Amino acid sequence: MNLIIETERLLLRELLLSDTEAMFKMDSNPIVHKYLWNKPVETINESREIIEYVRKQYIEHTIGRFAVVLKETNEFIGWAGLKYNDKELNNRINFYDIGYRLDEPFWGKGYASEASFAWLDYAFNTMKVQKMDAAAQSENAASNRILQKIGLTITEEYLEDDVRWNWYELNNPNI
Amino acid sequence: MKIIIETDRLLLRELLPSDKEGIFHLDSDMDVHEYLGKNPIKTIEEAQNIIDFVRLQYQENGIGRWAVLLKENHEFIGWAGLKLVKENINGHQNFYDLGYRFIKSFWQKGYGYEAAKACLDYAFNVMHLETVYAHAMIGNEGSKRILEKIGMINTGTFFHENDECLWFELNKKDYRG
Repeated sequence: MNLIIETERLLLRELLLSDTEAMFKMDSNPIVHKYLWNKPVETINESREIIEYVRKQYIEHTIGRFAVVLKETNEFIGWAGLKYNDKELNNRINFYDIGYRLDEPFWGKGYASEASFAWLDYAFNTMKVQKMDAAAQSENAASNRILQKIGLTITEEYLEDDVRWNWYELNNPNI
Repeated sequence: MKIIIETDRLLLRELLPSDKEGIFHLDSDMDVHEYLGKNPIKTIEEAQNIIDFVRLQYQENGIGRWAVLLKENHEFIGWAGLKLVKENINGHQNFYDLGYRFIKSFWQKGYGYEAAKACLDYAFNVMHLETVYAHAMIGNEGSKRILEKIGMINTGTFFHENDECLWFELNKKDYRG
């Protein structure tokens, strides 16, 4: 069984090994990595490993980030979705977070919000997740705006490697 | 947000008002209703009511049977999926029932198995249900075979509105994916 989520303009589907080249194009762009850790990937092999790592999460946690594809052209534009964090992050462990990363040509069109709205809906209404977390570098205005737009609120500011991050949370209103 | 389940040959999605011709084709066929009480529908309005009823379940229960389409041409071939059954059947109440129904020309091609398997995956891996139930009238060999093939366990028989039926269950701890 493959899950696909359809929104107005997007299809959200599992990341596939055939996405490797498009992932590499996105993740080798330093601008995409400006508010991550400024460590864009350098080889296509790294992109393949990332996809394999996410696909392992699909099996272990029945969820992981999904590819974001334009409905009209079937073009891969990035990823978005839920991750079950079984490793510690900002003193938390075993929680779901929501995240996204789009290739630069697809910024500023509302795609990340559209995908994230769908994922939050899926998390709360289908998976019945109790609480959603997220994090964005404080300087990353676009990412902070998306998280606020989908309804998450800042609950904490913290430092990671001397960089300021905002921590976001939202409780499932239906539980 | 619309959820679509993809299998090798099929797409499963919410039933839509525009599926009413497909439902009418399915549910007006006496052969399809052989083991369903022998009372096929006669009007397109009844098909519309069936869809409205299922769509109400999506809202109230967050789940209901889905339309099954052929992936290659998006043709409607029937429905499959999970239903929260609130009434009492065989001593069970408020349980998730797995079911399916296909237009006759699409029988015996493994579509029932393929769709039912995807729904069982969804029940355990997405909805994290503890137990999934199903039943089929005695004599409905096609349906019985599908339930056995996806790993459900026949735990007995019971009478449902004067028809003797087989009862099936599967607990997630016995689910082999």
